[in-house]
Amino acid sequence: MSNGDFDQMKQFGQLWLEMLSRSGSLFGQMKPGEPPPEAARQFRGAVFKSMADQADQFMRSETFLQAMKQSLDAALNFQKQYQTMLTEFRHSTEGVASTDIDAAMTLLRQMESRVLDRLENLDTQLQGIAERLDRLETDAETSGTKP
Amino acid sequence: MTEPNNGHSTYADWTTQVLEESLANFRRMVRLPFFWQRAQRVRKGAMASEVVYEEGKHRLLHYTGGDGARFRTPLLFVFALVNRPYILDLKPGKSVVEHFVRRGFDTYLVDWGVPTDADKFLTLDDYVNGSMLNIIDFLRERCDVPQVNVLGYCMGGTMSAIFTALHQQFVRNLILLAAGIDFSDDDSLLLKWTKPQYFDVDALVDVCGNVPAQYLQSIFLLLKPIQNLFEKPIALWERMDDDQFVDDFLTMETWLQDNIPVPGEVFREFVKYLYQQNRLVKGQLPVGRHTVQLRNITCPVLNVMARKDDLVPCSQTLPFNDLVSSTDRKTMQLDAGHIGLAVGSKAQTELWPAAVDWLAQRSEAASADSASGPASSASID
Repeated sequence: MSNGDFDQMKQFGQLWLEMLSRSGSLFGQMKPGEPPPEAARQFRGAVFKSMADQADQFMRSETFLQAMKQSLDAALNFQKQYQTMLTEFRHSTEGVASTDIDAAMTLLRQMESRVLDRLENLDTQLQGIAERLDRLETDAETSGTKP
Repeated sequence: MTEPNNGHSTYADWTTQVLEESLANFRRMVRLPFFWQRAQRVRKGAMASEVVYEEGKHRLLHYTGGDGARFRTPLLFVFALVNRPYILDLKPGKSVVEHFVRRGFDTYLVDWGVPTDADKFLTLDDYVNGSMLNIIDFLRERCDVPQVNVLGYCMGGTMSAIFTALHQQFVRNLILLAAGIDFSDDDSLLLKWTKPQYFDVDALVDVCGNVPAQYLQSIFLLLKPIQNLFEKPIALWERMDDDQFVDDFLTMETWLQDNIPVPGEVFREFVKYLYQQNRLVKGQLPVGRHTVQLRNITCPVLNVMARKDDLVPCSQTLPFNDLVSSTDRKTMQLDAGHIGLAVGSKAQTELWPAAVDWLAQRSEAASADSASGPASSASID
């Protein structure tokens, strides 16, 4: 038996032990006059609490994190292959694939950012010119000459 | 004198209880077919609103339900890109917006709309320095004010903090509600799942474009699987004959299931720069041509968080007040979860009246002639 299997068995055993100990302590506190539905509710609450704690621990474990990564990677790989297949099919029928639209969109965004950058530079330059003009006007007013 | 608890009376009590429980189960069963009908009729939103500005899919809603603005500076709600924003105005008596409108704040809310494949290239820069800036420019012009109050919730809170750091001159007061700022705490489940060795955000965004709503929904569900998959349905079953409970449950669930996809590039930036590299607190978050420095924030700040929040734990929100330069800063904590912060009964009775007071104390009263509020609207496509 590998260490991984042993760890999983240990965790599984721990879950049951915790559930049993919680239920045991609950039964110890129970009064004989307490109605069954209320007792069942308390028992259920204790079981869910144990399960929630164990689930939280498990979802932080390396086993779960690796499994999550592998399942996401597998799903993405499948999706990627499917998209490639569709693209090839569309190209072979002289159609437009989503990758072509993406490429056009990327190009547009690059152009947009270049234009915006240029506009921002022009704006800065204009602000500089306006400031210089204001300074010249103020200087001229203080010295009494027209600019 | 009390009756002795003999075996006979205990048995009689037990029998009565079991019988009552069986009858209750029968009543619930009878109500079950009507449950689906009620689910179809869930009403979204409490306050009347009108669209005053549109930019592509983004809309700005103006709440018109109050008795006119008593404060000069308008208040802008910024919600996350993950869900619909009507959680802030869920239903009468469970509406954050209602608190502010009733108190006399000229209140607006940004509805980011549902992104399509054409929006997958939108970045944080497009949202923060594009749409948010345009919306705030529009509001400043419409209300003839130099600044607006901003309230951001969850991811919208993070975006609001980024906006304020970049454009402090336009923000008078900033309220953050469960906004993730510092992602250095390793204990959060989401942080563990998004670690670079376990989660390749580039692969996800490159293949999917926008991040599918179903994927995000399943992640949120997995954060508390036992509670979401077992305890919640059982609680509903047990209180099926409580009309108020069923009504609240359906309204809440309708919103929870109403996820929308997140634009791919924004998701990539959020996960990579914030969750994986924690760049916001380091002063290294790039947004377009700018780098965000939280210390540029100087306005009054109210940082609201929930102690039982499993999505954005307090450890992610608490450090914000120490990272800004504001001298007027306050933290409010509530014993609630992420959503309870907005719609929980404690939030409605304790938190929001206090938050409204906080904002009112820092707001200028409107002059009599502007109290009726502005009426213009605009649209950019």
